Amino acid sequence: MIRALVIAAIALGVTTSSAKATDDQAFAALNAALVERDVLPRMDRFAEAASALVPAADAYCTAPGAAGLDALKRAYNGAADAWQGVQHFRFGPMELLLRTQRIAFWPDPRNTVGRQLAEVIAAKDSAALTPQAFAQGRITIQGLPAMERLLYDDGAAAKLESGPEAAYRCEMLRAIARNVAGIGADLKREWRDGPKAYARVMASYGPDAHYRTASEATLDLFKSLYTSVEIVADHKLGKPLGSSLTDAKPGLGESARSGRSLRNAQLDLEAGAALYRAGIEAYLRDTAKNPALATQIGQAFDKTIADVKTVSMPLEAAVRDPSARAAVEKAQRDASALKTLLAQKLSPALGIPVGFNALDGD
Amino acid sequence: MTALTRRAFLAGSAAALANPMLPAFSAPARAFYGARFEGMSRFFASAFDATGTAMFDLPLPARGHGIALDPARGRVAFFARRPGDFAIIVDLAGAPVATLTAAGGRFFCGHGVFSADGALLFTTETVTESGDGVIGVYAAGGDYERLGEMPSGGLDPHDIRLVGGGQFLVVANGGLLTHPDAPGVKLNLDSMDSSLAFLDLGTREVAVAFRLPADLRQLSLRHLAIGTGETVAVVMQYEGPRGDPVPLVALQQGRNPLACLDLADTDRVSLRQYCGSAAFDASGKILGVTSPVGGSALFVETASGRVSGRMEGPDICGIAADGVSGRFAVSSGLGGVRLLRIGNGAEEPLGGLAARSQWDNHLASL
Repeated sequence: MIRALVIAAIALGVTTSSAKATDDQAFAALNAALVERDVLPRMDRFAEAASALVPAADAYCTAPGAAGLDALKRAYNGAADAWQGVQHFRFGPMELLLRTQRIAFWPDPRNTVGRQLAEVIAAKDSAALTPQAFAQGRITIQGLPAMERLLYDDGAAAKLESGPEAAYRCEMLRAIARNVAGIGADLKREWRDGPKAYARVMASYGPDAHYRTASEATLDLFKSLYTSVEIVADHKLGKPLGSSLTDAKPGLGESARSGRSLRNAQLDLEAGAALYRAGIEAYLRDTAKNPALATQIGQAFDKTIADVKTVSMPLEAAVRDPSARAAVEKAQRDASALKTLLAQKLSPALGIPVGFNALDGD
Repeated sequence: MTALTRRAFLAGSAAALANPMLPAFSAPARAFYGARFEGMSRFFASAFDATGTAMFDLPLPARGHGIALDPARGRVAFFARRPGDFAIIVDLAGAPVATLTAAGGRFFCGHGVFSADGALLFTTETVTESGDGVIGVYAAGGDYERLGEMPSGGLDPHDIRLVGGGQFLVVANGGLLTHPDAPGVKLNLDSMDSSLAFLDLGTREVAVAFRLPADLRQLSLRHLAIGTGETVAVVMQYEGPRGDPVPLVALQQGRNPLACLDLADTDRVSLRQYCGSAAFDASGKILGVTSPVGGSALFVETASGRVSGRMEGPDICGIAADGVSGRFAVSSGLGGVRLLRIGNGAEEPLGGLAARSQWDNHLASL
């Protein structure tokens, strides 16, 4: 598969001779490298980690107990880690059927997940948990944030194991596990399998194709890179920080219950760095002949990731802590600077200028 | 909607058709107005003349978005990008007139319009906690005190214009649920309900609202332009998958429902499911639609639906009529403004501030 795509990309390039075609050949090779080295393995990992939720939820719900709960929490964290590794690829299969929102409805400033989860549990409607009904029901409660609440909210274990809600809560866990696993499998299949595999779509540009030029596919990958940093700068760190110590909003952290908020930010940045190093860096250095910028961006990723690692306590505590807050602020500042660097310097250097009107929308 | 307000709307529309409130442009535009940014860290409300030379360039506290003009009384309002907390009103030389701060528990959505007599300024706003859309009403004849608000008829009111001889506001309710704690994130993609609402300024109620068919509910009606005969052009952004063949431009006239423009596939695809801004030319017959995502603009004769011009350019979004029929100014987020003449396709870059600035989504002209 990998080799076939690279060869296809090169073959497309050599059949024409204009400068545009030469550009397209280079972009096609870049796209193929990024898809094969980074996107596809990450989709595989997410599908695998998501599928592990099902036996863990089934085992725990069949015989509730501390060991089973720990195993299910490990599966949850595995799926959440893998999700952070693909959440920035918001095009192609991911943009179909509201998959991003169904896997992880976040940000959630109004706590819609919590409110709707409580409503559904109160109603105890079993028919709503059949796979089809669940997948077509409320998007907020189909994914990892709802599972996190069921597993980690105060008193969660007790409510799962005894009392009037226990059976329904466990059935919800199983429904979420099946649903996330199903979406993970669908993403992997749609990226990889058959003549309409999205990896092929990205490689087969043309006047009547989904991508008119190879650079349009590169643009989607660039936007993924940008998203991996933007979501950290503007949302995952920026929003809990607020404007000052007294304005801190720890409630806006992504995953306070499971203590994952900072880890998620780190994984997002690491996923961005990996995408960058899967081919963009080399393209910038060797094809776009801009080794200085190639180095600068790599260093900016490393610095921002190192910043996040120096935060000494969970994000929600750190933003309110006079001594720990500065480290979060530094990470946010560096992430923000990296975001600007990607938009203002990388996109024109790649030859795919992207403006803030296109990036930000309104 | 009551029967009374609906009758008033229909009567008002009929009157408007007889007496269209068309801008009386007959010469090249004297001035263009727009918000600009430098490096996403400094923001300005700016004006430039027909050569691109700066007329004023005022720092803003954050990113600007839409512009409202009151030519009779020589005022221009710049609105913060949503979720925004400020608007500034200046005279045509850039001297400050007033500053608005968003009312408690509300944020500005980026657009506004003056009433026909200049006494009121209407702003699109969202109630932060509920997400409900409202139109804020400010005393533009005096101290710009907030006089009150009225429901916009939906979530996420965005662009707003005056029609029906000044009796009605027409509002594009984008239908998206947002929150300032999650800027730019759409929180209800599974249940969007976008509409084009006409608000009766007499009753302050929704007189009538138009929607697209249910299978197009992921289309967000966002920006408006008013053409001859009070044709309301609505340009849209699609929140669904890129491959879906959805319409992106609709027209509404008189009492008729929204009519989607049937663009050829290549033209439709060139907009990349995202229209950023729209404007009619001075004749009110040619609609310009920009797409920063597609790096493209289309120019459509709305009477026939014929595409009479096309333009390409990275991140082009702001668009405004020049004073001469068939001419538009188009600005780019990557920098520069070009004047385009439909017909021969001639393009002329402006100089000065226009050339060296990166422009936000909208442009307006006098």
